Amino acid sequence: MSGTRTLAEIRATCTKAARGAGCPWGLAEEAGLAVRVLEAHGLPGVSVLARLFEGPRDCQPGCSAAPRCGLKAMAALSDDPRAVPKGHVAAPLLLAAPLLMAARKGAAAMLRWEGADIGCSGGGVVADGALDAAIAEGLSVETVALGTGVPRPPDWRSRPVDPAHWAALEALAARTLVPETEASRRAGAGPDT
Amino acid sequence: MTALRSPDTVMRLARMGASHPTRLSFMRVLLRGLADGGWTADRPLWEVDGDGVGRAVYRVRGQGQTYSLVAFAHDLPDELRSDRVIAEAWDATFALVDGEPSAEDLDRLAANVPKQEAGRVSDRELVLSRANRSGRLWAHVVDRLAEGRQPDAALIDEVGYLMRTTAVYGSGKFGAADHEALKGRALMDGPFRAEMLAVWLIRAFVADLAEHVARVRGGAGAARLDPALRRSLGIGNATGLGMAPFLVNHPDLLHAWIAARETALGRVRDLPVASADSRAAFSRALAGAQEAALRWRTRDPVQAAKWDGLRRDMARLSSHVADGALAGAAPWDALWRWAEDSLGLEGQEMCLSLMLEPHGELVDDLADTMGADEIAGFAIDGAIPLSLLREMLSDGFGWALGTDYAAAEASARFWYVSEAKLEPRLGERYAEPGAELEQPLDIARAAAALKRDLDGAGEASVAGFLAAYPRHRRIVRRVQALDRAPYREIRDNLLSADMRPIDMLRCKLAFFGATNFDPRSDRWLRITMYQGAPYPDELHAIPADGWLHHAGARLAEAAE
Repeated sequence: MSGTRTLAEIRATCTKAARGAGCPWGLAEEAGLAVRVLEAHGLPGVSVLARLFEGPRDCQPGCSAAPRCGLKAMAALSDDPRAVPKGHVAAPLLLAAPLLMAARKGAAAMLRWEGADIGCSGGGVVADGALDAAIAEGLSVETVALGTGVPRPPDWRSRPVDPAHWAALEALAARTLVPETEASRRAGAGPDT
Repeated sequence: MTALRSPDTVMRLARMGASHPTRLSFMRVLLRGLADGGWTADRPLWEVDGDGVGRAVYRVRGQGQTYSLVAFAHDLPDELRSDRVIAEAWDATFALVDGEPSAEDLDRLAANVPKQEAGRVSDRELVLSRANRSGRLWAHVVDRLAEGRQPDAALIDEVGYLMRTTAVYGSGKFGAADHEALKGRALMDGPFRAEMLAVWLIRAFVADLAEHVARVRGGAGAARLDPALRRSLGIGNATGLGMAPFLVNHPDLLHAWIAARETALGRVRDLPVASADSRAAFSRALAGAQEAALRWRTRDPVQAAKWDGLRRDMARLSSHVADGALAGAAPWDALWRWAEDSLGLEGQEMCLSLMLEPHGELVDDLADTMGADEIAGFAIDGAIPLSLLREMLSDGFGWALGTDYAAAEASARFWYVSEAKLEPRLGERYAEPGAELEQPLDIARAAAALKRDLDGAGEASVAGFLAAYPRHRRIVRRVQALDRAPYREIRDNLLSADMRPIDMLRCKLAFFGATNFDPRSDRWLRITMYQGAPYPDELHAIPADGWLHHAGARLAEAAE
């Protein structure tokens, strides 16, 4: 049981990890929700996010030539459905999250890159290929889900997470914590003062 | 229909900090639903020894569902008893199981639940909680019962509970089931239903445990608690800063709760006449509340003054109604307008609560609107022009835009999560380190910062603006959402030097249905839950919804 995490834990840790990795809070919240949605659909969001933060991406200082950050690309696609990123994208699976959220309202879509197809519909997801690709190019989004097979609906149950990837996210999340000082101990928060 | 109260009125911290429970509060809604749904309760397991150490299971069944509270009673040395959220041992620990626990489940829970945060439950469990004895009242009640006597009613009045919880965790925390688990279930698919059910069963266990220990000690001569005295025992709770960010981080829920309450008020104000029955019910509720308020005690001078004001306001309300205030046309609207002109914040919010009391048939359906889909409205609409976003910002956040956040008093505080406690804390920005790691409760300041950048941004779309200013994503989402749901935001600066965190706690706890608010500082308070409510073994024996939160034991007694 110790290797499983609830969707609530996944969302909370991924939000904090993204913040710890340097994302603005709004984007960090989107990262947490995206990974929750992906994992609920049986897609490896935890591992993909953890590996995104390990590799170079264009939002880091001095990395403008690196692949496009999957989180930034995801946010841009969420804001504007036509904003499909060109060129190399790190953690492309993240882009399925806004499509899955939009599909709840009936807007089915297919996300593709070289080596993977992810059909997102109101009934769930049909996914095939190297979903956990670290980097992909040639991304496309078609507004009709073309996947074959029965869509997998979301599921709230706890799920196993890769221990090393989870530990990496927790380490990033810990960067958002403030060490205790004498003043903060005195101010306290409640009954322990 | 009468216009609902403006969010500029309702969502101020001072008024939120004067919230009272209503018949839409979650404890009330739960017990009403359990009674109406024909739920039954029993205690399939009781293995507690003479020292009060062991385990028990409390089970409720109804509407095709079963839930079991697994309770562990421990032998806790006095010196380890603490109100702290962060502790390592408790008098009793609990898990609410979805269904019935097997023998293996019980063993698994026995290995984890007593450790609380240091253990782990599974997604078959819905709630993890723990409680400590009130040293004074526990000893008194057990001693008296062991001697074959009843406890002193005045002392019960004064303390109000035999145990107080120090945390009630749900919704996927520490391995427990995600809130989605309850989706679609009759009665249980609603905010904090599982948590409120757990606390109600904890209360039953605590009373049983006290009687058990007294019986072991006193033998055949021991007494059982008089039913009315037993009913006057609630469950205590100590609540601190940990709960404060919830309302900011769950704005869709906040809106749903407030909108339901305000809609209920609007419906009652719309009534053309007040029937004799509803006038009588209002007067009964008011009398009960007046009596209950006499017993509310606090050491906090600010709250003590507020309780005095509330007692005076209720006396004025009582004479106003006795003078025929409800006899004319549109009487509830007239009463409400009078209250707004004549009463303080505590008095007005109490009047609201009392006005809902006689009108269950008119307002109780609103309880079903108090959940929220927190994902549906999450995406930012990037297609709208910046001119519209500017309009939304000035319409919804006008209250935030005039403040100079560079002034020390306007940004005096910062919210953070403590590395040592993993709990939210409030720091002094200009005296303590760590402000660079602050949590995003700076909604007002963020709105003002957004305005500055929007002013110089020309006429792009929101998507284009956010590509250039990703730091505004969070506040842009909130600005857009507030346009759809006006009660989503607390309309005060949460960084301000004079902000009182307990105002946020009070609002949330009132929606739970808590009473006896007793602030111990500006950042934590004690409360009582389920005081006056029926126990599981009397759910169908006393009026289902007759335990007015205001009235406590004596009104319940009168209703018998």
